[in-house]
Amino acid sequence: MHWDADPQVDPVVGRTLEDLLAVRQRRQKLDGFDPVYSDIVDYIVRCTYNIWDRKEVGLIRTHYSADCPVFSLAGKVVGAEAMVRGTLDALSAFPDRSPIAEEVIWSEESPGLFVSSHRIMSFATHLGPDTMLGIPRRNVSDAVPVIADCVCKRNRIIQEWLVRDYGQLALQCGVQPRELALRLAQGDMEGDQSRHGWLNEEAQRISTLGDNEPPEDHPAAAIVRALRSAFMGDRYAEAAGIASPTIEVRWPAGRQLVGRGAWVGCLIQLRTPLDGVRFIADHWAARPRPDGDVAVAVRWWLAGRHVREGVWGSPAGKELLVLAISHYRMRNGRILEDFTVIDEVGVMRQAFGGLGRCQR
Amino acid sequence: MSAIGDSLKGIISGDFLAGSTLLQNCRLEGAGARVYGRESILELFRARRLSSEFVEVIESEHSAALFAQESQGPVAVVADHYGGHLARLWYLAPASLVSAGLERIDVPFDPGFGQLTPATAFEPADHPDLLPLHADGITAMISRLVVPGAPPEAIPSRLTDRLTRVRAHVLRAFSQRDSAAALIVIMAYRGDGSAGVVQFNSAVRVHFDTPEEADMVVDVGGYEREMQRTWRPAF
Repeated sequence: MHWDADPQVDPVVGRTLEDLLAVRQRRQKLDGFDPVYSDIVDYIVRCTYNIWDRKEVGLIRTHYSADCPVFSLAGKVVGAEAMVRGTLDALSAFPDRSPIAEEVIWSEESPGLFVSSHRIMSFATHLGPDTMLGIPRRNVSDAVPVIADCVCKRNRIIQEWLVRDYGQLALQCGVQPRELALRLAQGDMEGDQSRHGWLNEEAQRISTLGDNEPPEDHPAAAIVRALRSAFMGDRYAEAAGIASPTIEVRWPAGRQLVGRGAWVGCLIQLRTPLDGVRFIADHWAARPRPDGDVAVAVRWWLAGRHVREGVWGSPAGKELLVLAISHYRMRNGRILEDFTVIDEVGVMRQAFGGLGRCQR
Repeated sequence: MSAIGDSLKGIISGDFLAGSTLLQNCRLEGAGARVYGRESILELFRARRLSSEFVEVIESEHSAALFAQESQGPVAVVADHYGGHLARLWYLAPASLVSAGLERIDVPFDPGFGQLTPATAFEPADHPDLLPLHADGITAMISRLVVPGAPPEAIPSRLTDRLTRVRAHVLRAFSQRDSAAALIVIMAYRGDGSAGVVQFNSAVRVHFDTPEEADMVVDVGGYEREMQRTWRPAF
């Protein structure tokens, strides 16, 4: 299906919450989806709102498959019941957690099989004990970027990749991200190590993707080429040609900058600590925006051995797997905005020896 | 004043009712703050309790800029909007909106990367609401801001004395009849002996029938907050 098919499906951008939640007649073919959903964007926004804002946590049981794997650098969770437990844990620590939708960039891979890339700002106040962040130290209500890539079929999410900016969350809660990563890694190194096998399995999966690239007429094609040119070829001026001279960069842990130099700086900051770098484009999607621009989502990985001093601290030679999801706003074929989410606590956790030993 | 102008005026005056035009996912940046969501934005301004004398609103199909004067100095608000629903706000003020900045990780980067004119970055094609004949006027304003090797003319010297190698990036630019407004992100190296690159905003308005009256508001609050930070390029 062409990337801009179904133009009647409205994007999230520029719409009030009241408009997003208004019930409408179905305007897209959604076989097997609950009748309340008018289109795939409505499905994502409405069920997220109901589960989190209205705390209808039990809806997860009809919206996730029993064996749905949810991958993140915080660990792999499998199945609807595990998601219910995780959601309740989150709500007990952050009871007012409200995932505010910013964008849903979706594709229909085959009839009835959708992949949505849902960017939210997770607004919450840390009020209760949290397994990662402990007891709240101060009343902080703030928003943390999250992007969830979900494979959806017949009303259920059957696979998900979730990236939350734990680096920013930790900083906001007064916790040092490196200390948090070390603590988590120390916990990882105890007990049955086979529980970390998922990371190695994921590494094996993405290694089979090779130089995966979008078709040439897809808006993501030039972006993936640029990222590959940067990470694999270290050709940063070549890569930066895809960016507007005044590109706005919103990257993890509060990095908010403007300009090609800043964009290149972010790429170099990520690439420099690694040797044997591999860049893998895992999935992409694009949708038209109401202002004539194009929204593009790219899920990508960076793999390499941590051998150099850099943003994640001193290296210990560990193999690192970085999961990133980027949302781009494009105008006239160039990137105006790059909104990238990476869990850098998860990256540093690997650097400290956590999450098992990754074979690549 | 237009409906958008009334909204912006009401919001920065702390009027909760004016906030109905703020989208639930609106973000505000500037004057040292990064705030997300309608309620948080309104509470920030309600706490200020400052009154402003409103000077002008310039607006286009997708953008708006309000210029005002407060007792401490000039202020400006630049906005992205969708049919009057405000999606982003940049606030520029003589003092910081918040008592402490957010912690963040910094990026070592080259602010002048790849620019043939090292001091400025401006692509008129990125700004569909800007009349082509106004682009030169915006460029001229930037030239006042930044001349390589010389202190910028339009930024107060007490700011520029602590900065070197100032760069300007035009983030928003738009026209309304004979007028234009722009949001310009200023980047500079710290020249006070501390490490790092700082970033703060300025807003300009130009009336092309009286270009000598062109005006610029600098986010001094944002600048001060940046200069209080310690550069942190690693976790």
